[in-house]
Amino acid sequence: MSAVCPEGHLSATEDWCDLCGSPIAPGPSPRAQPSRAAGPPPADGQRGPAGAVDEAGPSDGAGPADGADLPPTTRSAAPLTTPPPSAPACPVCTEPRSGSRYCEACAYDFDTGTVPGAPVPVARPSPASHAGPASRSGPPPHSPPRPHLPATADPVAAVRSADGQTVIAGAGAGAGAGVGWVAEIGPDRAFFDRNDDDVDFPDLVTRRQVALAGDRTLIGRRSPRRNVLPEIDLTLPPEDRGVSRVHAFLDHSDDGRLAVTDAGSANGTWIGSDPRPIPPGRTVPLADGDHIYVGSFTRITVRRTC
Amino acid sequence: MVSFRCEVHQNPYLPEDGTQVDAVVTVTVTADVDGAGPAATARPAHGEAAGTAAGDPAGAGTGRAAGGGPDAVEVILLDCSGSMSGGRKMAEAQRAAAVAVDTLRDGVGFAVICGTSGASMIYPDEGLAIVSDRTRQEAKARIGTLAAGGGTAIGAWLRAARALMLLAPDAIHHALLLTDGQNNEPPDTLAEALAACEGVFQCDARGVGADWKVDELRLIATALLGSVALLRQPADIAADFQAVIQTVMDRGVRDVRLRIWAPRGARIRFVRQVSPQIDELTGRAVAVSDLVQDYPTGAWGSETRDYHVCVDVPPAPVGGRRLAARISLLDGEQTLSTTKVEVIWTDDSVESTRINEVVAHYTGQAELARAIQDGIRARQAGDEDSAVTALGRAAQLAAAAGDELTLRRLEKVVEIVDAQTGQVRPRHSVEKLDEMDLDASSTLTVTPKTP
Ligand SMILES: [Zn+2]
Ligand SMILES: [Zn+2]
Repeated sequence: MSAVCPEGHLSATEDWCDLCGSPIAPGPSPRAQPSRAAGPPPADGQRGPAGAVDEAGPSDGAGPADGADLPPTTRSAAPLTTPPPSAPACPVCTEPRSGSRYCEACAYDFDTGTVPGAPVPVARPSPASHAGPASRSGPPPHSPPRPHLPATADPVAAVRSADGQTVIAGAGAGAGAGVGWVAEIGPDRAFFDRNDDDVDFPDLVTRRQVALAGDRTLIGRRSPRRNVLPEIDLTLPPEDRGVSRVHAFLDHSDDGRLAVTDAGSANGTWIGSDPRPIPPGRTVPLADGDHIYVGSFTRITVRRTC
Repeated sequence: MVSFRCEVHQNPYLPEDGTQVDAVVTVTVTADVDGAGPAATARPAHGEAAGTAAGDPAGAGTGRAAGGGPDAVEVILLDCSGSMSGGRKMAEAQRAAAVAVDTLRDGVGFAVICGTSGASMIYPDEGLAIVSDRTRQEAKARIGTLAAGGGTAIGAWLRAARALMLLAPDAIHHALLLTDGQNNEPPDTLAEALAACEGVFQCDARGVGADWKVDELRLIATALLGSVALLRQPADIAADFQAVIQTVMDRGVRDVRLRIWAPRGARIRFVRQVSPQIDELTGRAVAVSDLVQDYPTGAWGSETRDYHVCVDVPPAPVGGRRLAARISLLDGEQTLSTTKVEVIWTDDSVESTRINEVVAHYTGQAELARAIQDGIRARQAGDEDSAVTALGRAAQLAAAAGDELTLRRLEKVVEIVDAQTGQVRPRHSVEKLDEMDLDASSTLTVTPKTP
């Protein structure tokens, strides 16, 4: 789904050019108008970025049925909108296709070959032919987020990546909030580059923080069906599918020490700059500021808080 | 289920060579749970209207977040410094905290913190408690035993709240801060604490009595997407706490961002929330790409907010049309609503010089807030002439907007001879509480008069 504006830009949006703002099709009058409604949301609830599809909220379906998400012109130009049987998986994240237009895992759009968060158009009309380049197609380089604000889909849980501040919990007579360590979780470009995994580096480099409560913290990927409920859950965006369901444990006892143990993960656990993964089952002590690397791109930095 | 709706107010016509595009976007959130419409939720508490309708929670009644933890966390930060022992302050703060605890919804994570030169847990002993009849009773019993003594270290209190918030990363996070005095931490300490807390939780800040600094609490409320208000009497605290907590409990959408696309060559001059209160968002932009910026707006209940967006676009010849901005509300990566700001260049000066009434109204409201703050600052510096000029302009703007509450607050600080022309005279004995009230309320706005 793309169009060419009068100035020759390839635009992912078909009403106005997503680069220069020129009108593409004879549009509505420029009078102020309320938001237009679009069709039902994709099955996985993921939406395109603001610059890609003009949409209203899911329950705001009373507007004109303009069919904004299925324009007939581009669909006829690319009749093979369903992938051939030989390629049923998402070329970006390899999740098997559920039958909906969008990938359940990463919201990749099978019709257009675009991924969310990609305001520039993707020139390839047929996404399913080859797994490699399509996954590298989308977004332009991001400007780095301002240091005082998280650029993240989950700012409530996020912290500044440079946050070395201590957390003061109950500094008075009463007991504190019981926090001795926090883990800061986010993608790491250098680690990603070191790996050869066939996945995308996340569009938005977000970092979040988990306070280590109790005496053990599981690093893994949540699976309620298997009763795996990791405190450090890498199914949260940006999801890292290179992390095993039960990947590694962090042990933090009352004496303030912290250690990591790889629980026999498929892809291993690395610490700092050591080129070898730690042996599964062996407990390795950690120091304030240490980096743990897991999966395809995830770095977990541990920090002491008191 | 909540639905978001965007509506844009603008004059789409620009003169030849015109580049400045102003638009006000009205965002309305409606909850469809149990018929709880927008009327069920009070707007953020004004000093006056404390008693809010205890409406149904707006799409937020489950008590549990997707990850299994509480869906909301409330941390109550009570100033327990030595000065609170004066008069009825401590007793009323305790009563207010108990009312706040009673207003919390079952299943919400909560904690009450006693703030002095550090921060200590009042309830629970550590971590977060989950609201139930039992924990409410326990918390209130513990609140009843509080005694005042010690200093004021607001930065430490906020950091303690932050640590608690991080225990439930998937929840809506809010803190309610009450103080009666000035912070006595080193100057940078509060700023650093705010930087650490930004984006982690929202905070409404309340000052009781006349010994706290409006600028200090405004700094906190602005950084943490909350409001600031003066509570004249200790007896006013409880009703305000109830209103604040009720509003927070009605919020069902955790974290919403305003996303603005502007074309290549354009510059976003400012982005400002203009209703229900003025919040400058320009400096909070997070670049998503070269053309797309995100601005945090915090959690939402059933409510309406207005945003004034001003964009400079590259000029186009007469007859040219351009999309000046695409404005969306996002929850995570999900687009909740989108609207467009389109412009057309014309040589018809009648069209291009017409000012949209909503844009004009909120431009005036922003100037009003600035005029009040400038006037008070000048007054405090002993610069009577500048104070009269600024507060006169404020009276004129308030009158033009039909803003009776602001006129009434102004009247207590200056004698208004003629509001229409902005003629005011200084008053020589002004109650400090009245001046603080005018200052603290300066960012509250009124909506445009309906024609
Ligand atoms: Zn273009
Ligand atoms: Zn996918």
